[in-house]
Amino acid sequence: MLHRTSRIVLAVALVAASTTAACTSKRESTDRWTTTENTNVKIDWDKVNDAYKQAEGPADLERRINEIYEGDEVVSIAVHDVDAKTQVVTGFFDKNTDGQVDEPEKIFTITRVITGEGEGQYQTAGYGHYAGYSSPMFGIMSGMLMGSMLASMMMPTYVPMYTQPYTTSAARHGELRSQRSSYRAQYPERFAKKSATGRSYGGSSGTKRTPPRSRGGSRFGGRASALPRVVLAA
Amino acid sequence: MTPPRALADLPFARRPPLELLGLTEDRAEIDTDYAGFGWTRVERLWLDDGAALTAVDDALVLALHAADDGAALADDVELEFDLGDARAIAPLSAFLARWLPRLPTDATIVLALCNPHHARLAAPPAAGGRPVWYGRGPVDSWLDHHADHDRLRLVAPGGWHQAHAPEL
Repeated sequence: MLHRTSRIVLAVALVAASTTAACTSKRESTDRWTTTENTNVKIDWDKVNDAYKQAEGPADLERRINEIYEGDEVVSIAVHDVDAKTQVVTGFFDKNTDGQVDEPEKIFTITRVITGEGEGQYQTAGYGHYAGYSSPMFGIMSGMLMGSMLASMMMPTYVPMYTQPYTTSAARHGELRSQRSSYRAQYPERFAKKSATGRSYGGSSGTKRTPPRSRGGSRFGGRASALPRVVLAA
Repeated sequence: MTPPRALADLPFARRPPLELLGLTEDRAEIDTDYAGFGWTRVERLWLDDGAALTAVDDALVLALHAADDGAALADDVELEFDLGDARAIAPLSAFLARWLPRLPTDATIVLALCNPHHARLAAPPAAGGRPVWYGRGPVDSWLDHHADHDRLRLVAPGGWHQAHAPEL
């Protein structure tokens, strides 16, 4: 398990940003944690990568990402099927609330590529002050536990749905904030007691075990029904 | 649409795991009206009898439904397939004999299926010696959100069992 915390403090981030033009060497990192410039808020990349794997669709991914993100801003999502095999998901702070991905607003991209029948891969890269992060290439194949957003590409009938990109609307920000507030209220030990510098006291989310939250599914029994019965022949 | 007349005609199709097991909506309770059926493949799922968890890897999961008013059979379960404007009935043993040869040969077969009369099932010859897990009593699906992964769990308070070798 990865519990190592790597912090990139504000000053370092600012220096790095200001020298990008002169020094383009990018130190890539697969550390689980990185922090933001503006809020010094950590992002747990393991959770982000898993959120994409489990998401049922863009709206579900928005919810998951905003539950992971521990800062005050809402993270918007853009989903774009670039071609028949490639999907790019962009997380961004929509600061001007225009519903568009502006380059300085980008936080991360997740690029998913179909590599064969029932197979694909995806990789996450950080942007802006998260630019040091680059995930491993995650392989995906039929049989893995994944949400509909990824699983749909395994279907023979798959057709890219987001050739016209989906983007979180400004109107949805309020709903996402409300969902996130409810989520945070369920885990007060994780989201409470922030110091002025954003550091957590009393245990970090990466090391403190919380009981799992469970989603109810279905029962595999029959229903009382008045529908006609057809007895199938062997 | 004309309802199928034979097991082979059932629209028993592959579906994404979470969709098949009725886990796409975020809710805290079980949907007892769910009627979806089909098959899927998962890397790992957990069988929960209320006291212990058993991990099953590389599983072929068959989501089926026991007939609400099915006969109380000691060694079989009467299945019901909701086809919209009709419901089709068939014994589990006949269904497996017809469909298992058509499905992938994953290491283990898991039946997501209520077993209201606690039938004791024999391993179907079509399983080809692969373990076949089934529950007794009601069987429900759950998705557990852990810190760094999600866990797919099937719960059978009456216990999980492997189908026994057919008696000669």
